[in-house]
Amino acid sequence: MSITTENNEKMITLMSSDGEEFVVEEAVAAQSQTIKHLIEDGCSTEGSIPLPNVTGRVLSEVIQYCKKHSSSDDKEEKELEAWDAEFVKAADDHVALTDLMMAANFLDIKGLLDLVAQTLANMITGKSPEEVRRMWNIKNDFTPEEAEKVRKENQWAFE
Amino acid sequence: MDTSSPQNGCWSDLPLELLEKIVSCLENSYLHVLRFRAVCRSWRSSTPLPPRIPSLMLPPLDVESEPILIKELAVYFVQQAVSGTGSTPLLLRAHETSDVMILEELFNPLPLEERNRRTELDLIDFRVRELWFDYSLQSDDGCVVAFTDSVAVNSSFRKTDCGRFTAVAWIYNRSVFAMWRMEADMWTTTTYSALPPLRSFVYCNDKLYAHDYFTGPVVAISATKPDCIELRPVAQAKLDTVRPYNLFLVESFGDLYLVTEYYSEPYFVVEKLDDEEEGGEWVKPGDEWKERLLFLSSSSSFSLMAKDFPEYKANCIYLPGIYNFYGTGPSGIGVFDMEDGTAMWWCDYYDCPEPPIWLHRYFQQPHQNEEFIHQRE
Repeated sequence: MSITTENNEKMITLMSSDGEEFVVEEAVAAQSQTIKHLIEDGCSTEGSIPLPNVTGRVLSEVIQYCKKHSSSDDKEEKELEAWDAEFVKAADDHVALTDLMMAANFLDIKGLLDLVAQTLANMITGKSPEEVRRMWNIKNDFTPEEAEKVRKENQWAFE
Repeated sequence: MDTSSPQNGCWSDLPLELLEKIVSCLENSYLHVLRFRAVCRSWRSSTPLPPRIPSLMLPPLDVESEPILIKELAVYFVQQAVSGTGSTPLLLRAHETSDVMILEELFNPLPLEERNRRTELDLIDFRVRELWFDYSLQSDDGCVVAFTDSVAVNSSFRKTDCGRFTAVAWIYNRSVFAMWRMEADMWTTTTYSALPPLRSFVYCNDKLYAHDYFTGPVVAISATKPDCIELRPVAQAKLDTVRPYNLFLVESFGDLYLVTEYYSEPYFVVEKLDDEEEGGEWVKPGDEWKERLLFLSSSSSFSLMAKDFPEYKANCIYLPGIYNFYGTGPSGIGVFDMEDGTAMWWCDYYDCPEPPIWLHRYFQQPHQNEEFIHQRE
């Protein structure tokens, strides 16, 4: 199903895994290489494009990102960077960010994937491994032998 | 329920390709990747260890010489992971000898007796941040061919903009001054006698600066032709009746600063290069240092934003690893407060009732802070 707006923009409908529908301009949706290919393959002509891996909550964030990035040109790089920083700050808990990363990966949106990966990397850097585990609820699953090896690797000598 | 997310928010279940993606954002840092691999099994197996100390092999200066190796030395800010215990952060610099990581203390306000108990550090129990990188040049057989303070670089060769990577060095034993640019992959050299004794090389906004060791003026250096290095004077330093003890050029958040150290008061004067295009002038800085910290030494000078390091007082010059009179190793550290012009020092030596003699010139008073006072027996 494709609708056309007053500005003659072609609109398409995206459907999230939990059945939520989003009507967006094709140019916005095409920020996602995955959706772009689906459109090119004619998958958008009949009804909406189903995205079985992405929930409505995550998809609405992804669309927010795509809207901003399809309407800005290179001249606004600085402003866009600031916007990106605010955008990931708003999603500043690890579950939201990992969801966003999975979605960016599935939808193949390089800019968003890079942005989220860098944000997650920055969140890890500086913290002790135990702090990282606690913060992100990761189980320390090393065997005693492995744990000893890890400790040795991280043991540096003084002059 | 969101079925696409890792279960229970446990992102050790993130697909391998996404873990790899996150690792690629750790900038090839040995430390960061090492610690990433210390979290859990799936993270550990997702990535191999990068080389301990990143290095870059540069071509020889000429047909008769050996290739030159440039090594990166990272300066780390190390802090106990358990907060609220008032733990003292350490400033350490890492280098590698015969396959072992060796830590050198740059700034450690711990009392000596507490420090000597440590022969190694389990970094796994600490928060560690990379602050800064120093570089050293070595010949292929491991010999240091130049003093580390004569190396300046304008980007890391690990970073994505490494095409801009430039190294400069006095090669003392060959009496040449040399510049190597990654873009051109070649050395530009000039003989020692053709240049004044330059010190304190620093890059600022892609321009290389140094100062003349004897007479003080700051020059901008450029290599215009393969065999020609040009010096262009920038802002004339004010002629002073008091002879400075030392001059430092420091880049800080896009501006160039000249730090003059004196034997007596005012001990340190910080000036900023203003409007180089229009003739240039050294001016009194604005309020920017109220939000910054300055670490100053002949081998490692850098600035930090004070808000990121609440453990350190803003508007201060930190003098790490001051070497003692006999040059046998670091014997003390100092802090100069730019706000009120006071200086503090603390010193390691039990049998050194006074600070090293040359420290007298500015470190008049022992530190008043209980936490830092060296307890003598």
